[in-house]
Amino acid sequence: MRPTGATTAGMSGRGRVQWLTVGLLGWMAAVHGVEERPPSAPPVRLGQPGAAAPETPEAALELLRQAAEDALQTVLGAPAADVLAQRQQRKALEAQQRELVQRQAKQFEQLLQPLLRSELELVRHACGDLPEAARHEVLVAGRAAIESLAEDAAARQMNGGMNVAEVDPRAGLHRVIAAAVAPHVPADRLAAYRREDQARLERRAAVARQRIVAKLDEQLELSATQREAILADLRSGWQPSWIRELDDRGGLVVNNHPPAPDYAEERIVPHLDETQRSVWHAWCRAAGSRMLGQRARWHFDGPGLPPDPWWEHP
Amino acid sequence: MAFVAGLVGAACPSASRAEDDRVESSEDAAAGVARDANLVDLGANFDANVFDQRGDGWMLRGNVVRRRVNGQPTPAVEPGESPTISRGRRVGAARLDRIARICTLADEQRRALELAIESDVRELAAAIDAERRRYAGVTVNMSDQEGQRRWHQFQQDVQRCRRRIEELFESGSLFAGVLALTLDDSQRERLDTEIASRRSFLWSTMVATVLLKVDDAVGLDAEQHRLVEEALLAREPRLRLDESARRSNAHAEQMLVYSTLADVDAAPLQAALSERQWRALATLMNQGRAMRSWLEQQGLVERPAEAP
Repeated sequence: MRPTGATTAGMSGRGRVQWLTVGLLGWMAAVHGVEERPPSAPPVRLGQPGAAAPETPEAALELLRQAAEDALQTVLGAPAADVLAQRQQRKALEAQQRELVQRQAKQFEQLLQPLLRSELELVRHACGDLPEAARHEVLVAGRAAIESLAEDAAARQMNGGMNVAEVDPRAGLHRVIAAAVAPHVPADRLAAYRREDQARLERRAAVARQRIVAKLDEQLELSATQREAILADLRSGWQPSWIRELDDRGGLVVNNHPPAPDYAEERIVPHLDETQRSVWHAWCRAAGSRMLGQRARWHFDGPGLPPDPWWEHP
Repeated sequence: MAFVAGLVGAACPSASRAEDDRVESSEDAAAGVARDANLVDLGANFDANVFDQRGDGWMLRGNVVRRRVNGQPTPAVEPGESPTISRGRRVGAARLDRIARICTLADEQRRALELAIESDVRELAAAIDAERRRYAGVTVNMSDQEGQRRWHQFQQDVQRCRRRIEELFESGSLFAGVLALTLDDSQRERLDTEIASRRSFLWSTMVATVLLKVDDAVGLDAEQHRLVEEALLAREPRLRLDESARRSNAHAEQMLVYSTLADVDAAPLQAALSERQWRALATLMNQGRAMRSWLEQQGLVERPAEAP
């Protein structure tokens, strides 16, 4: 809808507003159809002091278009066309990012398959026979958990700012499998499965403690008595986060040292002699774990167990 | 093969060039540079490989060949003390300190052991320096067959030197002989206990660490884990405890544990594991078995003393 053949000459103020409103509606309806303003025409601003009223509907439309663009620019902080381009670019980047995350998640899924199989093996050992329908349910739940854990880890890794080390695939998988198994087994069987999981967690903590002491021994030449004392002290004051020692697989060397387990300093230093303390402090300054941050607990080697038909094809 | 190419010389050739480095006519320069990319001065790479690498690790600094003025001889090896002596003394001093901490040595005992260390180190240095001399100024072209053959020979000779360094103070050395004669019964007992304790601790750490991976891969329950762990701990190898052997090598440790597992009585384990678990574990054991000669090169374990 475009006003045609009219001018604003001789119109009252009210008439001019009506005419401008009609013009605005017309511009909104057919904003892309408006002819380009001749390059020579000076820009006209609505409400500019001393600005002449538009002489033609085209000029009025131009005036309105310009006013709308000005208003948009004020709101958006940039020309509308630029904002639109930026939005499209952002959407394209987001789509690209989503694709990358999905691709990475697929890789993580493969990495986690052996973990699922070994967890199911543990269920089979601890819980004994399970009805066919229950087996299917547990398997489906396990696969979904792997998918979700992989997606979570991939998103954390690819999107930045989120720590992939916070994803604990073992714990996440066990939680889901235990919940899926629970309705189908007697309480004592479920308790046996939970005990096995607990024993596995304790084994991991014990190995982490032993690795801390082994690392100290390598750097500080501990005596047998010192090794025992530090192990005992680590055990009595154990913090779950110290399991991070398992992340150090020996490859990381900082300033010619392996990362020092300084997070457990208060359990270590009292057992060192003076010379060892001085070496310890120098080591912490050069390669303290606190300063290095935590890495992901994603070390799964090898293909693991073959697929179990008992679960796969009940 | 872990292969590290240090390109320090290539990165700033002008900085590393001496007065007598410049040489050929300008028209040969481009061809010379291309040819030099494949030339390796084995003598210049000898010490880095003998002392700083282990097992099948090799360091090859490229482009360290000095292009010589025609007719001029290869520069002689720098005069002065052999680097083997300082390195050997350092290992010996660390070992002596450890013994002194455990046994509280008398001055005469310390002096006798220091002399034995010096003697062993000098004997080692003579042997290694003889090898080094054989490679002084020897440049090979890695892109031709003869160069490859010499490189292969170089690797074998370096491996032999590494082995001598690893065995420097082990049985058969003067140090080992003097130590046995010098310590009194009480000192010897303390030392043996401490060494055995450290060795057992180290082995149990390796076993526990590797079994974590087996846990993930095979899904062991607590009883199965206990059986496998006990079987491994009962077959403790004579791990080297010296600084040269104690640089962490996770892959070699893993293979050592799998290889040891391959030697345990399989029947009780097989009976305790499911068929699928046993198959997965057997795959790991086979990996360890296949790596035995490689493991020997890693120097984690002392070699048994040769029969007289």
